[in-house]
Amino acid sequence: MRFSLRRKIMTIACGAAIVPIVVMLVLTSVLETRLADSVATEIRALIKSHISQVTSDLYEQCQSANELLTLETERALMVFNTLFEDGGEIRVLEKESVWTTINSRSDKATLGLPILMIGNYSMTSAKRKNNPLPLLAEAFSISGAYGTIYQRVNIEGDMVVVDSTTVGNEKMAPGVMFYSLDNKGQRNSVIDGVLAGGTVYEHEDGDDGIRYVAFHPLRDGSGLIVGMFAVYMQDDISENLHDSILKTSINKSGFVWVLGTKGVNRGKYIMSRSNNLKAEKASQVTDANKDLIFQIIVKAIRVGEGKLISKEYEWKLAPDEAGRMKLSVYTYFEPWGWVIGSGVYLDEYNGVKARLTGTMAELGKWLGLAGFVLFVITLIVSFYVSGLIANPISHMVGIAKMIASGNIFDAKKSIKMVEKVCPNARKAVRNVHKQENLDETGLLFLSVRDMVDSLSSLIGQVQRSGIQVTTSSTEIAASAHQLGATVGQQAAATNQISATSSEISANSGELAVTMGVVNDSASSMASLAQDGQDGLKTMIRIMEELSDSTSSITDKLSCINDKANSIEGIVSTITKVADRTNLLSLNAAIEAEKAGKFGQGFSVVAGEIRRLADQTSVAALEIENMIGNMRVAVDSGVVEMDSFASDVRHGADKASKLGKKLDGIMRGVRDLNPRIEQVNDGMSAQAQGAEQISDAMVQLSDTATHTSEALGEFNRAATQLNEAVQGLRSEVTRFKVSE
Amino acid sequence: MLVLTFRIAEYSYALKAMLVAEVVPPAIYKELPRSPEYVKGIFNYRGTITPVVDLSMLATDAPCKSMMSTRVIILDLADLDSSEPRGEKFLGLLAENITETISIVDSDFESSGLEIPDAPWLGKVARVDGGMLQLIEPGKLLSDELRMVLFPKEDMVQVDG
Repeated sequence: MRFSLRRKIMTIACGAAIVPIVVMLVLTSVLETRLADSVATEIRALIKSHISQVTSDLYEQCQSANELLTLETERALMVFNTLFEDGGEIRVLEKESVWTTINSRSDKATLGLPILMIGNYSMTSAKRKNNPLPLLAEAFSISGAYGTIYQRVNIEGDMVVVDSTTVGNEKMAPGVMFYSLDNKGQRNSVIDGVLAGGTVYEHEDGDDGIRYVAFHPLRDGSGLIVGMFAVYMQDDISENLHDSILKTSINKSGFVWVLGTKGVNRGKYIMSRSNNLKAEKASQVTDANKDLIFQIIVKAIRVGEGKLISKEYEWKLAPDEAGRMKLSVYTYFEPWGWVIGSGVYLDEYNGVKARLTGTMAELGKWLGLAGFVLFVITLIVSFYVSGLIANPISHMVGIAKMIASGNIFDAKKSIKMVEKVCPNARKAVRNVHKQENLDETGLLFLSVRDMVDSLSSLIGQVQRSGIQVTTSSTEIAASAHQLGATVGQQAAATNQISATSSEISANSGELAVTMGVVNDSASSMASLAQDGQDGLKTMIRIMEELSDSTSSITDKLSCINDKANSIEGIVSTITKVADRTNLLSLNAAIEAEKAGKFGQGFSVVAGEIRRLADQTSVAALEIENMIGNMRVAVDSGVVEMDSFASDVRHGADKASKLGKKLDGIMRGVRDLNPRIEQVNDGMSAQAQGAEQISDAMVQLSDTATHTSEALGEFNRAATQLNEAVQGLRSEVTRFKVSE
Repeated sequence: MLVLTFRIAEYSYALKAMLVAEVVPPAIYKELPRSPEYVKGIFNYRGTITPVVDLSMLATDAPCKSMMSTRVIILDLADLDSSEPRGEKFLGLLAENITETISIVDSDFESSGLEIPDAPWLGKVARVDGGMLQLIEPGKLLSDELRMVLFPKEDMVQVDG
């Protein structure tokens, strides 16, 4: 494919327009990717630091709550100790009372126990039911702590609850047994500690882990440990902590959670705050989540208390649901055996990322659109401008090609066409006298136009001149030829004339002899003409007689015609009579029929009459036909006679004219004789003259031969000239200046 | 039986001679304006104004050619309608080629077997030399309509009176 000037210009323009846009698009997409990455990292860091903060806050909160709880419990214990010291002697009576025990190991539901006395109060089932010891009530009102009194059952240290101010605590209801051996046969550490005479502190298992219970031995007057009492704070602190934790919110659905690590709570949620607590709880049962939770617990314990661990994992709310990515930060709180954590769903932050990348994509789209619009505008503008530049040049190229091939006429036509079509050319033509206003293509157009004009006029001039020279030389040659021919003819003519004149002289002699014979013939012709005239006169007379007899025949024929007419009249009358007769016979026949038998004879007569009438009719018809034929014959006879008469008259006229002519001939012949004599004399003189002419002609013929030779030379020169001019013309003809 | 033959177009027809009063040559007719085309006109038959019906026109819608043999058959109305008095009213029938009477035996006539509602007057047919001959029943020729036109009753009442 030819890469034309126009395409080149358009390619450069479009390239200049489109390249920056493409670079911008590439840069935008690179920037978008980078920005998205860095934003994602930033957001992650931000989230992480946020939830780390939340987790560490929670940890602090739990720690301070724990400290508070410990302090409060110790203070309460002091209160209880003081009150027990003031409350009077503790002793065990010989007398027994019966307790209904709440017991998981023995079928024996009742137990006889010696009565434990604290001051003046006896710890019997009947006394203490719904009526706790005033001491305990006082202690509760002072310290806000619940108190429970156990009585020692045996030497091993099994205890039974004999009084309590607790509310809703099944383990400390009156009658509940507290065995010194657990189910596996291990000594209970609390009872051992109490029997050793010390105070034992314990975070109660089974509950939410933040009940802090202090156990203290009760001694009688002899210092024997006859029981113990347990003290723990009201649940205010733990409830406050719960509220505080549950109120912590992170973003939309972020939440904090607390997992137990000890006892029955191991691997279970102690607390969780999420938009869908039930679903979260239910989600624990899925195996994958269970594994995950144990991993978290193990790791938290291994890393140690108060150390923050971050973990990103997939969390499924239901086994068959697609999981959501979650980022959590957690730590281990040892005193309560809690793993405290807070987490968010990562996909909630996708919106921010999406908005950011969306903006970039929008930017890219607009850039693309702007690029396309720019490209289209550039294409149109460059198409137009390149047209301005390339069109005139391509036209000029076409014109130059035509000139090169010699077709100047087409070149001129093409220039006129370009003037019409090309605005630049029109402008050039308008500004032909102000060339400083024109651009290069305009100037090129004007120059080419002038060049073609000049060339055209030059070639035209040359061609015309060539034609003129050719014409002239041809004319000269033709003239020379004609002249040669004329001279030849002249020579021939002179020869002929000389021959003819000899012949004339010979013929003249013979003519003189012939004239004598003619003279004799003329005399005999005059007498013959006389005889002819007499014959004609006789003929004319006979013809006149014939004409007369013809007219008499015509008269007779018309007479016959009249007769025929009268016969016709008679026949018509006969026909009428016959008709009447027929009618009559009909009526007669009818009447006869009516008359019946009497009419029979008459009927026959009527038939005869009718037959006669018919015959008459037939005869009349025949006569009529004959008369008709006769009249036709007579009419044609009249016509023929008329034409015969006119022929006869015509013949008579012609005969009389012939007679007159014969008269003329006779007179002519008589005059002829003396003239023939004169002709004879003339003939002799002519014979002599002819001989003289013949001599002169021979001399003329010689001269003509010389002239002819000279003309041959001239002719050759003219032919050479013509050939030279033809050569010139054929060269110039290559240039076509007209159609 | 004697019949009077005539011709309509190219075919021969016949009337019983007993019914014919007379055959007369054609005369000059007084035309009756706005009368049916086949009513040729009226003329003076022996002192009686007699209407003439062109049979050719009635049968073929072409008038009779003017020839010697074209004649008028006069019928006495009494022969057609027995209630009419004899010799007072006549009807003329114009037809071509009325030149012959033929005597034919009654039994030679046969029924044509056709009933043409527009031409109830066509009667029996007989074979004769040179073709067929069909009888014309003049009694049926005079339809009620034509009769009203040609012989109005009022006039007759007046004449009777």
